[in-house]
Amino acid sequence: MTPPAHPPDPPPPRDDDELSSAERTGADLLAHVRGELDPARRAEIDALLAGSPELRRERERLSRDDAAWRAALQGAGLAPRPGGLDRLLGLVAEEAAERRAERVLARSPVDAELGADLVALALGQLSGDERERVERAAAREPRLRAEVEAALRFAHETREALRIEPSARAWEALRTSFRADHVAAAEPPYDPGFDTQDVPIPTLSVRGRGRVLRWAAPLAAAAAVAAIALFPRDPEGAVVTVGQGILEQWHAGAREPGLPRPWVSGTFRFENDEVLEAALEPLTVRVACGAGAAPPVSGALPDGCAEFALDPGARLRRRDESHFELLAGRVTVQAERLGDALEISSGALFARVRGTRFAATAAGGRLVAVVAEGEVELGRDSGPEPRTVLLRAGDQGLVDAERLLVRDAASGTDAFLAPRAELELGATPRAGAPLELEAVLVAGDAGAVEIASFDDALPLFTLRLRDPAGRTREIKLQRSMLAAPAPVDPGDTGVWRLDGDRPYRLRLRVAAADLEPGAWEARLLYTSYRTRSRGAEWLGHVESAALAFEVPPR
Amino acid sequence: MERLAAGDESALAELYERWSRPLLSFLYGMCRDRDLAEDLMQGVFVKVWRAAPRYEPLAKFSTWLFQIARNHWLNEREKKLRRIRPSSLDSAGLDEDGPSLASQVPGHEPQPAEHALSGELGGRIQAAVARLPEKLRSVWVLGAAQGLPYKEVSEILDIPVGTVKSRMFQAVRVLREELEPYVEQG
Repeated sequence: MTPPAHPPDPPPPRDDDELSSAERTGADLLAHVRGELDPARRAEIDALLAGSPELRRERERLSRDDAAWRAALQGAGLAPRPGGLDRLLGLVAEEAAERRAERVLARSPVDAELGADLVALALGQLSGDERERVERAAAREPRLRAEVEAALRFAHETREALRIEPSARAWEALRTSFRADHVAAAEPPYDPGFDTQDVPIPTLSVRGRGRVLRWAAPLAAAAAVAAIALFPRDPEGAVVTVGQGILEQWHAGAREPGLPRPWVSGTFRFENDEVLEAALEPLTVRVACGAGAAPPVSGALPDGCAEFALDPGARLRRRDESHFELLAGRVTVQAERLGDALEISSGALFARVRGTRFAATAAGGRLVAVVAEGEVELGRDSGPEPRTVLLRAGDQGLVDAERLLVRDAASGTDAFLAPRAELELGATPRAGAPLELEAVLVAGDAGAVEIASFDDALPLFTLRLRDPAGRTREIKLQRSMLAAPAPVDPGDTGVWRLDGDRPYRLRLRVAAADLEPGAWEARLLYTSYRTRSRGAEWLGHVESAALAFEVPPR
Repeated sequence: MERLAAGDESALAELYERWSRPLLSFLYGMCRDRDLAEDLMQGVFVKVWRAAPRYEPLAKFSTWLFQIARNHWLNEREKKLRRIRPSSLDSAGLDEDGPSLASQVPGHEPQPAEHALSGELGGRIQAAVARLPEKLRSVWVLGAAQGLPYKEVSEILDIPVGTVKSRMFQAVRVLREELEPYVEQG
């Protein structure tokens, strides 16, 4: 049975305000048919129906169509799709808007063809004879000129109203996605770094623990004496060596409104309370910190100078001579022997050094540092003890309000907080039978972390299967594939706190696996993005190791 | 596009610099949700670079780009409609998966905060454009807000130029009816 199509309605007669109101609440009309309105709204719709024969006809038509749809669905043995009502409501509202536009056109004081010409004239779409003809017509009659002016004005206002700037985050996310796409083109469906809140590990070539400092120190000390003698002190002296930056003036911890944001390149003064931003391209800047030399454009970094390499989107605020606040993004820092300890902070979190090379990344209330040379003190101003830890060359550290973690570079390059995905067989696989598995997420190196839990409407969990013929396919896990209800936290917030005692475990029974005899391989994929998983602390993509299993012959 | 197909990131940066604002403006005009528009814009760029190896300059680049953008918006809207949960009919707020359906169909009334954020007239214009039926809205946003020639709008939307012309007029009439009292007041 085919659901009835809506026959096109003839344009109804000119109507009153009540009808316009009813049109705007076309969705409510369908809800009225289905008895889904609250009493107050129902009373309002009842009043509108009583006063409008057309609205009553519309309701009858909706009622008929709704009944026919339901009958059609039942006849076909189908259950209503999730969101079906919303979809229908959307269609109703769209149709109401179209009919309203038709009515507006029907009562236009200007002939439709001429009106279309006038709008085209206003928007510069006409030329030659056609343009002259329409201009002449418009010149003769004020009401036609008004039509041209209205089109011009609304076009201008629309342009202005829709003029918005892409955020810095948009470019950063796009670039990350582009790189991921080109580096790992073999596995396209998931976009690992896209829009995550986890802190990726900065990349640095790590030398041996403390090796550089051992040979660098005597040379640097000698150079320091020479530098101070040769160059005048210029504590705010800075030079851009790669790219261009944007400099913002801040006052009392906030951006000074109305001040320009000039582009800087070459030598400039980077004064306290100013913010330097890398826009779309990387930016490298050398800055004199304290009683140091003026930074050179190229060559070795003299004592008392630090070099900051800002990734696109990174924002660095100078707090004082040797204290910089990373407001966003990632910065790689190289600092030689400094008079005062150089401090990179992010809120209450900090990394403090005297001479070293390290990278720091701030995101989501966390600061991660990777040390290539020398030592870095990583810590926070408040919170549970211990509050600081000393990182040496080769160490990676993460600090946030509750964690202070260290691991060495050999731990790999996974993000600190990423949970681990594991897949286990729940029962011996049999040909033709559903595949029974246990899918588990466990906390990673960082310990407890909050993840988005299973949601039927949002496919976060995917099973990737390789069958005996070597074909790979992916099955998005749905509620119907769960052999037991998914774990839910007591507050039903959609977020699950993973820790050592609380893995996130799903028992699966997947009939869609279509098991046939032979060697199989399965992997569990878990992917959560910002738009899918509001409130979760960790967002990103993890994949389990392959689970190989054999399905015996029938 | 050749550089983009070869994975040249600077080619992407150039493309982004040139087209991100018009694309974002177009998508914002269609969905009227800043975050969603930005997500959609990113999706469009992903499609562009994935299609770059097969790109042939048969039409203007902008035509091709806006065709992708419109199709992407329609597909995403369709997906959203499919997976969205039934919610209160009075609800005009955000659901967990982004803006509510109510904000994406004509008839969505702007919230006071929206007016305050975007300026009184700007907010009214946005709301009035959002209430246009999709077929008028896409024509209006491309032809008026983006200032594309009618011919290009017709190619993007795959409709005759005459239809673009008449829909533009119809859009002006609807906007005028909604906004004129306010505009005159202002």
